[in-house]
Amino acid sequence: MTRKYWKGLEELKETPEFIKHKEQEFPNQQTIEEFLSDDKLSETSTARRDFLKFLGFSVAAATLAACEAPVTKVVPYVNKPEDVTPGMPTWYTSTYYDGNSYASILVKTREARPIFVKGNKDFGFTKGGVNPQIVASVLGLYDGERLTYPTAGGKVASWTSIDKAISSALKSAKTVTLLTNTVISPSMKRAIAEMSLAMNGEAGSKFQHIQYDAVSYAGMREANMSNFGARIIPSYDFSKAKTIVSVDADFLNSWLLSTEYTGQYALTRNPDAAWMSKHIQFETVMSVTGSNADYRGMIKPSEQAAVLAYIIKGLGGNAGISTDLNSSAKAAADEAIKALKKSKKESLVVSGSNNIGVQQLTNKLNNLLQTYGTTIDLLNPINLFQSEDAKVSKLVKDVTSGKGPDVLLMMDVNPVYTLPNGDAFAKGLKKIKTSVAISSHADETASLCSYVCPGFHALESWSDFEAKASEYALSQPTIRPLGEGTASALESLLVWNEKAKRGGKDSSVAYDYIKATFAAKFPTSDFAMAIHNSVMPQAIVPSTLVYADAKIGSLPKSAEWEVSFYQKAGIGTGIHANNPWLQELPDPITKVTWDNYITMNPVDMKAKGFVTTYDQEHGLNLTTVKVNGKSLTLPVYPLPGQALNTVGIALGYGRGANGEKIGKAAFQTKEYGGYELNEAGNRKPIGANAYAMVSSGSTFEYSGAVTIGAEEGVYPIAATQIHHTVMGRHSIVRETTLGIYQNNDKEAYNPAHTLQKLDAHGNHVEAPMSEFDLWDAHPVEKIGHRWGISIDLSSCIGCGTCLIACQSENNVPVVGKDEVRRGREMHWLRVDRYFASDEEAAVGTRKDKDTFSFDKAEYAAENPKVVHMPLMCHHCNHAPCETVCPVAATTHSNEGLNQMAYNRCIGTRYCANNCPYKVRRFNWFNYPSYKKMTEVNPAQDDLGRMVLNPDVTVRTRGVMEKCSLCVQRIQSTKLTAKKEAREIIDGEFATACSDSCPTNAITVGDWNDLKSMIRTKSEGNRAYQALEEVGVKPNVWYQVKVRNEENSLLSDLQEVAHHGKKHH
Amino acid sequence: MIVTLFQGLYRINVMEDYQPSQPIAFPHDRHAGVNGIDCKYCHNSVTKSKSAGIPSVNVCMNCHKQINGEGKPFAGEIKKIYAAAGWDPAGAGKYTGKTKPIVWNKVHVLPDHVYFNHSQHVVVGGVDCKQCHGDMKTMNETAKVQPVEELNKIEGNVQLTKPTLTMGWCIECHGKKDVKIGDGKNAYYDEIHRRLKKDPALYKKYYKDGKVSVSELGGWECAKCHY
Repeated sequence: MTRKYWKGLEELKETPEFIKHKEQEFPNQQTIEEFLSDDKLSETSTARRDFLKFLGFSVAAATLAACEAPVTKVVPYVNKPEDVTPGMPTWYTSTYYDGNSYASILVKTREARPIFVKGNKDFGFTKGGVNPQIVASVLGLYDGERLTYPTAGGKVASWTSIDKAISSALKSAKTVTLLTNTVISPSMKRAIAEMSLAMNGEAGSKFQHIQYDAVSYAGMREANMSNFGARIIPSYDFSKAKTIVSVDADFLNSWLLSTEYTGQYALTRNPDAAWMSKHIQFETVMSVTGSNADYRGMIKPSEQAAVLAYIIKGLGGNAGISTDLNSSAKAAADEAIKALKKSKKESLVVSGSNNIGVQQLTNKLNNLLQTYGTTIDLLNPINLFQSEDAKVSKLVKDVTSGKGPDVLLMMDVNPVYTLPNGDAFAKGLKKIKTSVAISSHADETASLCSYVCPGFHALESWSDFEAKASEYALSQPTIRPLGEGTASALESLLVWNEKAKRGGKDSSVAYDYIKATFAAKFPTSDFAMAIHNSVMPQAIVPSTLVYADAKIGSLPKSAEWEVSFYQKAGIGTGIHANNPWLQELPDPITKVTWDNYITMNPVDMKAKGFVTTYDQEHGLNLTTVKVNGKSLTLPVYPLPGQALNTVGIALGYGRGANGEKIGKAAFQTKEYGGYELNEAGNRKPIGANAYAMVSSGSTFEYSGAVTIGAEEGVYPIAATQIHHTVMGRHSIVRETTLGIYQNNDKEAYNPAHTLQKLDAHGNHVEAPMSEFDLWDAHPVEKIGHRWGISIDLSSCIGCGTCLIACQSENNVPVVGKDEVRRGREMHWLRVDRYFASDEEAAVGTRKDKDTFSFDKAEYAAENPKVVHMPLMCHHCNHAPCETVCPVAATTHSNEGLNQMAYNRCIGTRYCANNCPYKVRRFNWFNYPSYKKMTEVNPAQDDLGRMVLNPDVTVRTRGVMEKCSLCVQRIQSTKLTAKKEAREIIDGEFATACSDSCPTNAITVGDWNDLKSMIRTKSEGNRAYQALEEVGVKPNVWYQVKVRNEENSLLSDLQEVAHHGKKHH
Repeated sequence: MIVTLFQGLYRINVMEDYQPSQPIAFPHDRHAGVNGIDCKYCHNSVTKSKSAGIPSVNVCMNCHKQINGEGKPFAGEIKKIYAAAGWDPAGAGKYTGKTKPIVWNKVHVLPDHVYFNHSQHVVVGGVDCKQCHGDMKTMNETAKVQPVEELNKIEGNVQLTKPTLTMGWCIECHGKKDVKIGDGKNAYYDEIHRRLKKDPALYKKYYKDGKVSVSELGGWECAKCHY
């Protein structure tokens, strides 16, 4: 018996379509017309036949014409800024905060324009942790639909007239409400306090400030209020937790400060450290976090309380509520109790629920374990997510009933989109006397406001932050504002409160104000130094918070079918819906791009009569679900690991449903370009808005009862999960358990590949793969450099940050949904997600092909396990692609790189055919000019092109491309060392993927440097090479995934089999 | 015949003698030759960046604030700098703030798919500007791409045969020019030398002609310039 790894149900079941497509690597050949077509060509009237006639003449003509070089202009600065050297990057420290994610970042600029964002590993408590949204945010800066001028009544107006109108409206109003997302900026808070003071005096009630986040964490704050008497969210330290129990908290992807938690979590997942954490996850939808858990219980949202109560009971406590659990959850909960008993206060229990009662139970459990003070720090609370659900509900009631405030100022919020009753709010909003939106786009809310005041993009503005009590942070502009008529939001508030005058495009109002805030906080510190570091540590005000039991609030009711709303890695809460990089990021679990869907367990789907497999031609069934009397229609996606009788729907989709200008990539496009339009002639949004289904009681709840309709036709889906298959070579993934890893030698869990050979006496003996060579060795081993990558599958959480970083660094084109559906995505790096089930026998040894079913494997409690595996070009020293290239366009360098000379490539695609890892990508189109990609490819407009990395060629149609191991960064690292006359320091060279990895799972370096990390890792016990048996000698190593679980099946496979061999 | 044709095609060059017009008749000979200004004074990013840098107007103004060429035939040219810098020379002179960048025509143009780094060649390789650009000290007309025959006349230049700015020209030089490794002057190359010594056969092969050339260290590999 072996362990079977499969990417999708199609592969597991070997559907005829799957088999057909896996043999056809370049699906759906295109016609010559389509291949040749681009916008410029189509303007000519030359038919193909004529074209051939012209050919003879034009070869000669073109050759001669090419001898005339075009005149290139060069325009130097009049006065060169001191810190800009053309051709050299300048890095700025900054801080990212969009109301949902927070991180200390570094911004790379070239010729004064930001082109790359990565985490700051040296400063800030996020320690370099970022997520795909943060890395992709640089593209948002160059969005052509961002507002560039303020508008009044939908028409462009001057700041002078708007400021005057708003100031006088504020004065004459009886009630003023300022609705913002959570404000963590001390300066902004100061400005708001000044505004409040000016209008309310000491005790007035004219002005009120309400904080409202798209996704609320109010339940947590209220629960802590009842247990600790303080409406706080504490700091969590996952790095100290030997047992992590998460009840539906996706803390590696979207929950709270996930940018901090990913790094902490990775520290505890090292099997070579003194201890490795045990992670037990209970959840409804298979999440990024759940996919990394050692044990995973599938529960309905309404069972969260019972899970906590069961564990409390198991530890000797009593929650006073039912502890009935399904078998999957019970098994995991028993493991949790076992582990928690051992680790006691070195544990951490977190819950993703926004229900006060569930959070109170979580507190109770943490108190029982005495984790307060070890893994939970109540004294250093988080300032993010201060959404006040009760106040928001009251405001919404007032607005919808026409009693709304006279002036409603809104800043960085989009309630029309994110409120459950956004439609009613929109109607009420029109009745408000003066409504003002500070917003980057004329979005769902702003487009209905009397005044829209465009703010700066985060990369254009000064700001300060206090994400946690212990740290003050700053952000600085990295480019002069692109929009002529945009202004800092802070300045706008100050001007309307008559505390400052407009300073124009290069205004220093916000800067001066923030500097003053800083000076008051840190009277003896240097502001310039603080900007250089981007953070300042702060003393925490000591306080004593003691846990007290409280009456458990009302708990979610169970229903036959329940829905859970969640956030996806790319789209999150929906603010980045216009970002094509994020839309095309394959979801870490489902691998679906450009779409929203209903997730359901395949077993349930079969019972309901939905199709459970899909491919390029065969879509998924559409159905209508109803929650709280609201319905939406989406395709149903088969997700192994989804709890039975539940569905999951991602928030953040369905943006711009009334054709609002929120960015050109946020809408559905047609097969040959242009937008899909709805009956009203508006652009159709991608997916549907699930916020409308969130229930608003005392807190917003992201789950509830659901009814599911019948199948309503078929919808095409663009998923990458079955693309670039590895032809059934299952040696590619290796995993083991901590027990096996610690108690056995390498041969058990990571056996070397061997082949038989004849020894000197003519006997057959086993010899390692390295002894077999078809070709002469490249001289890469000893001399010069040999660049390599090592990826630790134990640390990789599959978040997709590396993929976006690679796209940003290497100018990887966006191709759009239709092209992804055809298997033509261009990502140089992909993250393969394998489901693993223990039920499979080796290929060809299946029990009974006709009656055997994998259904059990799909939903059994401990199954399926998930392995995430980033895959890029392996830079094989015996590269099969190189030997088949007829024009030597892909060759090997003495530094171990598999080089790709685009200009030499004639596009035979032999190389991709011959690549065992399927990492080569063919340029089917002129992505920067073909009309099909106009809406999705940022390189098609002058503004979007600014994000391109000038050190990397933009590839043209008809050539192959692939991961270059960031050769531009290798060259620049070497050059710096040469110029400074020193050796290269290990760790100095980083690829875009290794640079941005929040868990440091990717190590790169010079393998010929004997002391380097990469050398050490490649020689470790866990190191293996994917498809080593093929003999291509790659320069990429993987580290065996180690799970902290007991797994008798794996143990049978690895330990027993190995020992059996030994005893012979 | 086909061979001849291909050889002919390989000789085609598009760059040699390219001499675009310029908005200002800038005399290199006067600046670099007569006045002896170092190339790097104006092209000051040559040691730091991939581009040598066209001087920004404020660099011109460092001298031309004083030197206005009044009464000379070229006074009109200097006035163009003043117009760009927004300098009003009347009286003690003052900056008006109305600037207008000068739009030059680029002389040495490489295609987009070629990465060339000046600092690599000048700082690390120790190549003199005149190896590729010719003797600018005597250049009394607007700058042009010097044909390889002209470049070969300059003392100290590596003698090449392929047309200037073609790939053949680049790699010909990479094949001839040696890199000083293991002389204790650059720790980076000392390490490369140490590693090379581990493979005596290769070491011997490299040093057969008494030197290690750029190409032997990988200077002919595609991804050194194309990525």
